[in-house]
Amino acid sequence: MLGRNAGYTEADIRAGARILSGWVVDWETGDVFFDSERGYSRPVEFLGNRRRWNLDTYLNAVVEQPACAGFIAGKIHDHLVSTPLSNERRAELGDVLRSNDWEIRPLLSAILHHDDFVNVMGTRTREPVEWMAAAAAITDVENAGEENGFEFWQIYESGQIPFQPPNVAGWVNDERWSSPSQIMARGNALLNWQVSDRIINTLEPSTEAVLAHCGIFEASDSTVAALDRAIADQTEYQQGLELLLTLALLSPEFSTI
Amino acid sequence: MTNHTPSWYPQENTPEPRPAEPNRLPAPIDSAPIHAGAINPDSINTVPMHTKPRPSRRKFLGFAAAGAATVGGGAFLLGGEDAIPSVSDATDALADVLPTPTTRPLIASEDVAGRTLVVIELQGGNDGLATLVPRNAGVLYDKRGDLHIPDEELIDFTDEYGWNPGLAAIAGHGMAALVGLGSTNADGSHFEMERRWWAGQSSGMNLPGTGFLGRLCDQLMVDQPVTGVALGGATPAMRCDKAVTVGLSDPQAGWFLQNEDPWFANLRQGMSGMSLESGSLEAGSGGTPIAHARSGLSDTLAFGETLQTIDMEGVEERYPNISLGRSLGTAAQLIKQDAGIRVVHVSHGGFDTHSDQRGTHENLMQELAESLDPFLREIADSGHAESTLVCTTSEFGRRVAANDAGTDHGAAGMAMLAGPVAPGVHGQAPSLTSLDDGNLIASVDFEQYYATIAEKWFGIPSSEVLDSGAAPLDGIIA
Repeated sequence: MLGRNAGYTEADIRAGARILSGWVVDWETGDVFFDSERGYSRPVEFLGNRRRWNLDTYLNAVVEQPACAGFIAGKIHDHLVSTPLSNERRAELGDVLRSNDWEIRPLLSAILHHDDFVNVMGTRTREPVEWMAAAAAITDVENAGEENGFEFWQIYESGQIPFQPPNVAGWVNDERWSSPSQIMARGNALLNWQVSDRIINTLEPSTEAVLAHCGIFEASDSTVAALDRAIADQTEYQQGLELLLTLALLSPEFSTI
Repeated sequence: MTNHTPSWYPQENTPEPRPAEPNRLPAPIDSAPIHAGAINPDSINTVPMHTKPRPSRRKFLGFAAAGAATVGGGAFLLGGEDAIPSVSDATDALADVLPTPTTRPLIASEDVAGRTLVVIELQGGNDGLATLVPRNAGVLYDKRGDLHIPDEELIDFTDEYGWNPGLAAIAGHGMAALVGLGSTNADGSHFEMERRWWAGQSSGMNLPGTGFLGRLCDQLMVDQPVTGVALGGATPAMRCDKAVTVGLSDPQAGWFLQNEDPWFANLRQGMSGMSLESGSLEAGSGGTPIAHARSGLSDTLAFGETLQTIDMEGVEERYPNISLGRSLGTAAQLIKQDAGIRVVHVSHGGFDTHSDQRGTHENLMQELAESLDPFLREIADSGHAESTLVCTTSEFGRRVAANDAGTDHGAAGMAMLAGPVAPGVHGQAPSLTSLDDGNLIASVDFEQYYATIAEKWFGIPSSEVLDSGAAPLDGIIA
């Protein structure tokens, strides 16, 4: 919660482990409880203070570290905005968190209403969960959990299972989310979904309408040309709209946010 | 299993439908449990088996290439720099046509041609001392208690070491082990050490953007669409500059790339069109997300081309129904295709054994052995035994002393190799008593391990793929 080299040492990590010992999570129910037999009750030196600690005092000590607010605010910022965070802006956002009693909403407001956010549209790769949620909304896919609907295995195939990152560092946002693995998983999902009647009946099967519906307002020439050609070639069958939607959702533009 | 036609199939022409998925939700992936400090070991999420929908019949992948555009980041050199054969009477004419090599290959290219590397990444930090267990190690009984496997339970290997009993299925394959392996600048963070192993740089200063496996692919690529494949999903270890490497968790997921129906042909044509770089927007935008998305599309189409026919029939029965089993089963089919794929990466997770290590780790060893054994036999049966090297990696070993029925992140670990290797233990056994803050001290830096693979297996000079140009080890690769 502080970031590497933010003023804590290996000794602090071990002290923290001592302090946290005895706190148990029941993986079945999600309950958290303290097992005093497994806890360590003696004084421990942690972040420069020697005392008897409990979970609350431990968390307060971490959170009160100068680096903490900026670090957490920075993490949230970095997820939403791909431009590097200056130290001033990090401190600014950290202050927003701290001065709002660590409520997230004011921080999000500060990030989303800033030009930095507006200026970076299309510069970050959509992670699978983001892509799936967006694509499901766009196709208005019905029958969640059932055949021809949005099913859990489809997110699973994309390699990002909610609440199960590969390790405690979480997921890295990089080009692995544009790999053939992703494209095949996404195509697989799309081709199993039943687009809702509402979309079928109201969305015009044209390149312009479909791209706008997908939230793609600045499409490259190659994407526009590809969709134009597809709808022109798709004359014999009725599934022209589905073809355009599939292409738009697999487009390079839609894979970024 | 009911067959269903995807909702978007054109009605007039219903081609062979894709089989439906089974009725129940798949169990969570066998990934490393998240470390949460003191956990009640009885309720920990021990690795559940993952099941995925599998088609029951033979699948043919591949499709008529829809004019796939530029593949990867650069043109393929005819023959590749390091694949230039030594000039002889038969190849004089060829030598006139091929570019002059800038580096002299270390191994005659006719020996190297067709050689494949399979890397099994053991994610989480594999405990070397529980994998290849020192015999007569009183200090381990003292410091590990029940965690330490008694000598009589070990599988025979050498006088000094025995294998973890979970490895029974591969004990007969003449494995090599490399001990005392790690970074000389050890760090206890998964994220940090994984990045170093992927990038192939042990000190952690100035990590390159490419991966070690990717750089091998850049050296190895010849006139084939795809050189490296990461099964079980993409890995930063495969990042490269010139070759095409693809992350692929399920080759069957590409079924729509081979369907001959006009609707799908239009789809592929559209994908190909979108993969072209657009003059109007971002010329020269090599590293942007949108550029990656474009090359992802073209790599997908190229990969479909590579997998013209791959027979997955019976693989399900021969390999364990876990992620590693399926990956190695797929790897065997890819290698048998002789389609130019030279590096395959697979992974096995769950090695971050902070608690309940004795049982968990032995299960992981068993899963590894039972997945690797059918792979080695299938490779041998198809005549690929001499040209396929299997090796393991892991971000670190674990501490010597146990902590609450498990072990914490350590430093030096070990690696296993199978294939044309000199069986036995290689490297210098780390002291179990002279430790660095409770951790084993590495006597072999993992860059030397990588250098061994590069030079002794592929004939690529270490300086071409490792900044440090580390020296390879002798005697491991036969």
